[in-house]
Amino acid sequence: MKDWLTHTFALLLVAASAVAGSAEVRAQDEVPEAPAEGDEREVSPDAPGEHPPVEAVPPQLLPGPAPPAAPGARGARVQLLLQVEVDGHVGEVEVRAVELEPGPEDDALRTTVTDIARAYAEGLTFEPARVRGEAVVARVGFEVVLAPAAQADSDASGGDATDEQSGGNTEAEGDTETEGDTDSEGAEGDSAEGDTAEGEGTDDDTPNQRAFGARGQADAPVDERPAVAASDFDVDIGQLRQVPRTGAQSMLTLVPGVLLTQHASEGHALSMFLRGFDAAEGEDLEVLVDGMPINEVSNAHGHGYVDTLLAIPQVVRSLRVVQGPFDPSQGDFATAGTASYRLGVEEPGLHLSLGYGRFDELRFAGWWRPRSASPGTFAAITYNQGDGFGVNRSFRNGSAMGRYEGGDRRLHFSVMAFAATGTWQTAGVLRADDVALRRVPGCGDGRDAQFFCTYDPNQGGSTSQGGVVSRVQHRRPNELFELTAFGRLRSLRVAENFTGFATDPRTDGGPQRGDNLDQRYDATMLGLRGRYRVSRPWLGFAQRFEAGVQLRYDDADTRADRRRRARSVPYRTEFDRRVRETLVGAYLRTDLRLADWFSFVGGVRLDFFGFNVDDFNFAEEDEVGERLGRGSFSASGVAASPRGTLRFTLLDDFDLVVAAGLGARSSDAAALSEAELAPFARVTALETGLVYDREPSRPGAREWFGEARASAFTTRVSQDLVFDPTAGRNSVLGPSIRSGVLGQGRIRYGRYFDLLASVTYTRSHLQPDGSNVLALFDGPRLPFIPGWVARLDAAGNVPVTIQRDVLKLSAALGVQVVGQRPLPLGEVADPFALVDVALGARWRMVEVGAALQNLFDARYRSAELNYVSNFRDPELPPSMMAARHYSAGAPRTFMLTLTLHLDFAPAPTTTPATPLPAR
Amino acid sequence: MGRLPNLPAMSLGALALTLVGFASCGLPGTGGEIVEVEWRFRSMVPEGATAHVTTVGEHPWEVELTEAKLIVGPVYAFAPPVARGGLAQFFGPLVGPSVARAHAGDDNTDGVRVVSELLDQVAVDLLDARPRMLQPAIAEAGPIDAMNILLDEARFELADEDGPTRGGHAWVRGVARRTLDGVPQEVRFAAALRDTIPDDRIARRVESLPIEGVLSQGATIEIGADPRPWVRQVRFDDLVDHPDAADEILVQEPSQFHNAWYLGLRDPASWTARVVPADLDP
Repeated sequence: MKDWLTHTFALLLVAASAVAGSAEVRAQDEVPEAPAEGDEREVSPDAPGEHPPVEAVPPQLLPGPAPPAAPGARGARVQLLLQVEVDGHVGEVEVRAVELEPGPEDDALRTTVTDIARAYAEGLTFEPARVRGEAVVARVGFEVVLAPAAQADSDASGGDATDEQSGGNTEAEGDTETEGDTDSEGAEGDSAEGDTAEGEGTDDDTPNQRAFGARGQADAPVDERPAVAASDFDVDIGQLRQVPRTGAQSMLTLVPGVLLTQHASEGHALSMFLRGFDAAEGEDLEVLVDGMPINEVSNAHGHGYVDTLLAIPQVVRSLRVVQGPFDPSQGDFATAGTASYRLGVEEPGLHLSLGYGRFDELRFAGWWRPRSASPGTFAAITYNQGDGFGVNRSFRNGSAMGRYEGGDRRLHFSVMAFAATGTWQTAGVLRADDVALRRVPGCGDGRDAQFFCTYDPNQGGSTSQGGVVSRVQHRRPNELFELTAFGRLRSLRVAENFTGFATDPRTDGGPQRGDNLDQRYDATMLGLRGRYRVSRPWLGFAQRFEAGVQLRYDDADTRADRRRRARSVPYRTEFDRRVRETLVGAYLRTDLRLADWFSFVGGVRLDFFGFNVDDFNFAEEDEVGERLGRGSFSASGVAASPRGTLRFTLLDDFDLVVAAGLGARSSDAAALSEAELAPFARVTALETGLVYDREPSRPGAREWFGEARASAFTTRVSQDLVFDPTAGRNSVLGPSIRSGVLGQGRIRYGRYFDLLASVTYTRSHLQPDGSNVLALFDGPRLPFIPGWVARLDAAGNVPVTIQRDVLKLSAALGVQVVGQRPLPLGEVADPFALVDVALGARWRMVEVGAALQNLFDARYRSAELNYVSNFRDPELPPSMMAARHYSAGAPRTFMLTLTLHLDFAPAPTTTPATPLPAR
Repeated sequence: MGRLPNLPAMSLGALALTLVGFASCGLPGTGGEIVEVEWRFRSMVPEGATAHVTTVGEHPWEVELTEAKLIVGPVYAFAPPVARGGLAQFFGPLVGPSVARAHAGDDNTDGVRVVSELLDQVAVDLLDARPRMLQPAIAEAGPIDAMNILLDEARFELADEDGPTRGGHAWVRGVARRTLDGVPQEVRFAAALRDTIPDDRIARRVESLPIEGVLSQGATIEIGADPRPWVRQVRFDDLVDHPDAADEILVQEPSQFHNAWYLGLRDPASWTARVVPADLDP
């Protein structure tokens, strides 16, 4: 069976190679398409004579409300520059000029009409600009004519204000705005950057569109970044935000195959399983928030620990997850992939939300986006507390963040500051045999009392962090230079007891003092990410090249002490280090489009890691004599990682994507010694998949559209890590390989229905020494990693009109099915399914909601482990056999929420306006 | 645009084939297997024989034990430290030290893997030749090569002064006789081994008791103990002049008697262990 599977998988990869070969032959036979009529060719000075014709269609304004009236007796014209996003909504609004009707200068009026015009423009919807039929970001000049209120009132009966709501030239220029992340992707366009393609836009008789028929100029955005794999997921949270979730990290389940488990309480990072990896709390998944990496090097609780408490869920606008190291810009920890949180607030105004739920949970959130600002400008705060289920699971945390972005399309900048803090208690793990025999002390004999009990109430933790992320982008028509600088202060304390009374090495005859492990991590991180991207036409397509650099410096104190059960007093130091790690990464990436049906994304990445470690946990005497109780060592390492992706367009919206890449994960300082060539975990990843992606013809349109993908993948890690309960963290295990398949589909119907479903199957094996890359199923399986993971998220909205007011009703459903998980010794963990539902209603500014998580109150084991522990009396002889342990999953919880959506900006009047008389 | 019409079906077919292949492979394949085994105790004194021993020394004593009781447990059975594969490769780092595997330190349980254990204490009569079933237990299937027997202090009801070992680790009663220069000598003795054994996890062990066998479903792990080495190095000469020499001497700690007993108790020669497969166990 193993050979058969290996051959099948190899066949799949060979098939992909065959596709590549076939495609190359066809490329020679392909006849270039003739230029569309009306296209004008301009010769780029960069590529004389090579400039291809480009089909460009400028944005088209869709029917919408009439412009409001200006206050008072004076009308105004406000000239704006709108950025029309690929989904047709208006992004940035830049005010170019304000012209009041003749009269005395009135700055207040000027400000007011400007705000009114800006607010009006932000509510408009366009058919996006298209290049070769694909939507691109565009900027259009737009004039809003505000009639005086008095005149508007008088003309209200019949004035066709929309005739003149905008006018003048429409200038559409490619200009994608990256939102919070360097990996932002716009829609794909084929036009060569910087070469102007002019085309006649639609010139129908629709008044609203009349102004847009004159002339268009469209460029493909220079920072458009094609997907690097079939498992490159760019998830617009959208309506799926209504599905109950408890934090930003839980949004990761929107991508296929992600299982999140919790062995502590809210505030402690979730353990992540994806793509056949036990990524623990971040060791195998690079996580970026607004472009800042948050994986923590040599964290006492686990190398790569990720604390997403800083990311307030309400301001997470979208999520991009690349599963696998296929993009040269992916850095340290991206062995299983990279997750990027992009921040923003869609709906302007002040939003206040207060929720109360089971176990005395109280959740408050407030977030605010000025109406005059883009979605990337906001402030947000949140506070949560609760007793938690069972015993010893209370939590309290709060976060605040503010972000401002400004500038213009040439020079754009953003600054984001954040702070977060939290504390929690942890029930920890229970031995399954103790629960089965109902002998866990201190909780009563009831089934649930035992299931949710704890051995050691002195478990918990606290976290705090604060920092700044700033970004500057400088654009030219075919160039982009971006710098992101960030700094973060961090403190984490985690106290956990996985083994009870088993590790105390005392030999004086006393009882075991206890294994409670008190881990501390205090760190300062500074970093910089920069990239320069340029676009040049070749073969009739825009070819893009990017050079990037990533710098990061961490100065961290990482320590772990054992504490006595009695009074929680530390009695032994497990380790105590100061780690200074420097990462210098650089990469080159090319995005080449060689034919209509074939493109290539690839490059190489170089990472240099340097470590300086002070170890303060040496004995003060050795076999020679006295010595200092400290020591220092340095180590460094270099890793080169080529990565590449082939994309074959098979049919419209239907691509075959083959990706391969090498990656590296830095070493935990605990695994290093003096002058060592720092060992890396080397990652080799392969994937091939099919992607179908159909965009809506226009945003909000009442039509079905969606995406679907299926892929097969395999990844080998040269030095895998596994959780060591004795050490309370991960330890080096050896080479491992995982393979799997996934399928995902998302369908949407306008703004009324959104469904995202996925299913993944993976197998992970510990490879025997000497195995080759294609020995996919050699060696024993890695335990704890689920085989099947399926997830469904769905949300629907139904507007109900009641006496001219709209009542928005919403419902959401989340279902996760986790199949059997292999456990050591041929055992399996039971599968489980969780169902979450939410109902909501919004009327004007008031919204109420009810959410139920774990609807059917399933009792499930969130995390399962197998190791030696002794939770009996410390004076009794300890068990030394590995036994099953688990941490309990949450029972059914509910949350009732009241949200107010307040908008203090001047309310645009609905009174139609008439144009100013021509002058 | 260019079309490659046959490729979707080809790729989808390959994907589907792979998916079916994966799905047809069941869980778990992690290596190893849990089985049920029995623990059994058997005295090494043959049935019908007396527990007779000759002490060491120039003028040895002939000792006959009339009572010999011992508290057994906990007992740990270890997998061989070499030729690991499968699960052992995975669990090695978990149950042992994460560094310095080549030097296991001063504790022979460092870096080894326990595959079955007997945690509860049981008082056994070493002069009763009938085998005594102790308790069923689970075990990790596979070979074992060593056992550790922990000479723990008696607990709970076994710690009573009226208990089988008088509250100690072990209890012994007997009579020692010899003829020295034509004069017959006799010492009747009784003793409980309680405080002589240091309260130290290593000093309390009978370490690395060899055992060969493979644990499989229904197998029995049999421990044997022999009380005769307990008194082999006792200097009964010291007890001849004891005030109670005319009667039975209740030897009190500390004493040479107890020290010799402790050494004899930890002597691997006092113990045997074997695995009896289910199909060979009568």
